[in-house]
Amino acid sequence: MSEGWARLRLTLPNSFVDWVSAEAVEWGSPGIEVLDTPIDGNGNDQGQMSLDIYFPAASAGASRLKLETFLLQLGQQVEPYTLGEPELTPDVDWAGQWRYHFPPLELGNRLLILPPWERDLDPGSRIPILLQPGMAFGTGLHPTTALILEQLEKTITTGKHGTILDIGCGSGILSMGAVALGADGVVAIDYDRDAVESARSNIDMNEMSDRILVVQAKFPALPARTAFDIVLANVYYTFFRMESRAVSEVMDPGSVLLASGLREEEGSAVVDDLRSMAFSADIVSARDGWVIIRGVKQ
Amino acid sequence: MAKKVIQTIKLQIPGGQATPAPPVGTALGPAQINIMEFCKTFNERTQKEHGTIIPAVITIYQDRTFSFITKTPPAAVLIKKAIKLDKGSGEPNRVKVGRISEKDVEEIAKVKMPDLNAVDLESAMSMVRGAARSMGVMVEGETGEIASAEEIEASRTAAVEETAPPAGEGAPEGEGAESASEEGEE
Repeated sequence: MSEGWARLRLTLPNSFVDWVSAEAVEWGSPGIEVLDTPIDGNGNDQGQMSLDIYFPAASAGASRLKLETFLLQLGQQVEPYTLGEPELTPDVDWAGQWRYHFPPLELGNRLLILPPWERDLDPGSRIPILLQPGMAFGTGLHPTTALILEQLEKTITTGKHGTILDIGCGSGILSMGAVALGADGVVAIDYDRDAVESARSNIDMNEMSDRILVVQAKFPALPARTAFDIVLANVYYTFFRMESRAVSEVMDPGSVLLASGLREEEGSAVVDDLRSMAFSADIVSARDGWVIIRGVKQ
Repeated sequence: MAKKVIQTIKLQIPGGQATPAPPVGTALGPAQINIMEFCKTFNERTQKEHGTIIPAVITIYQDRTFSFITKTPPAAVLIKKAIKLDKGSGEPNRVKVGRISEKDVEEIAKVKMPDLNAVDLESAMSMVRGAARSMGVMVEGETGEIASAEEIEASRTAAVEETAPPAGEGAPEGEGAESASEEGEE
């Protein structure tokens, strides 16, 4: 009990949210969750918000009294409000529990994505890639990541695969997948600083930094003008509509573009664009409403 | 990068002090994201405001990655800090607890500018003045005596006694000692 936490739910006019939260923290609350929709059941949600205010369970009763006193001091201006009784929060190992949501993940026929705490797991016949799930996009859990890695696997094993450009690299999962599958070298770019940091850290963890160059840049800016054998872009519709021509300029005839991050209804417009630029292009796979395009520059 | 937002979560946490305990654990745990990464990054970003409450808005994406922004501390907190005020007034119209200079108002307005819907510094300053008045803090141009510590305490307890409801839930009935209709900015 002394180690536990209790929650006080308070619904009040939203102009008092900051003030009440600040007071609660001064009384020893570790923090507050602000819920946009008031949860008091009285049907009055005009300008009201609910707060879940946490306190150590042992002092929750005293804290509730302080809170109630404070609200009374504020008088009519804070009415109507509703203050619930302390409710104990379940005793959960929050520091460790989230890890269960990132189990080892098989992608395609050859890759196995492992969180760092599973690094000693026997990967069997698969190639393991260590990946810290965090802020940067690309845990492997999203269909667009899985689709492009599956296509990359087919492309690398059947065609040329010397140099690869990874546009919007996020966590670095595609770049690392490319190297694991046999690519000679990858240039990975992302305009988001957090993503670049995350990619570098993941790539270091996999000891692949000699074959992947990560640069914070917004395409078409690139660290060097060169032609790539494969261009990977798990981005979004408007990118392809705006930048397909620039993508084509960093590809040689025979180079392959894998375009992911597209909804079903968006795929055909991008295919048309690519065909108009002398690509042979088709939607080659789909999953959960997402499609992937494979384009070969003619 | 095909980011699809599945949820946003709003927390108010003391700067530099996020831990996996509630509210972080209870709010972000069900969202199934890397809680430790959030705590680490939040604490790094808010090191300078150690202990001061910081609003954070966390966005959860479909592949259980996330991003978050931090906002500036509430004006009331900055005002209390600037004038080293312990408590706000129980009756802001009658019992004055302190005085804030135009220079402090301007400093706070500058800090708050990114989060206020203020067109310019002057309108941000006017919002800060409003927040100060609602706590019983006098702004420049206002005259009056700062109440003694006993009076301030009395104002706070008086407000309680006059409107004390039966213990338990429900909004207090009856009217407050003063029908304070100060603007409650923010």
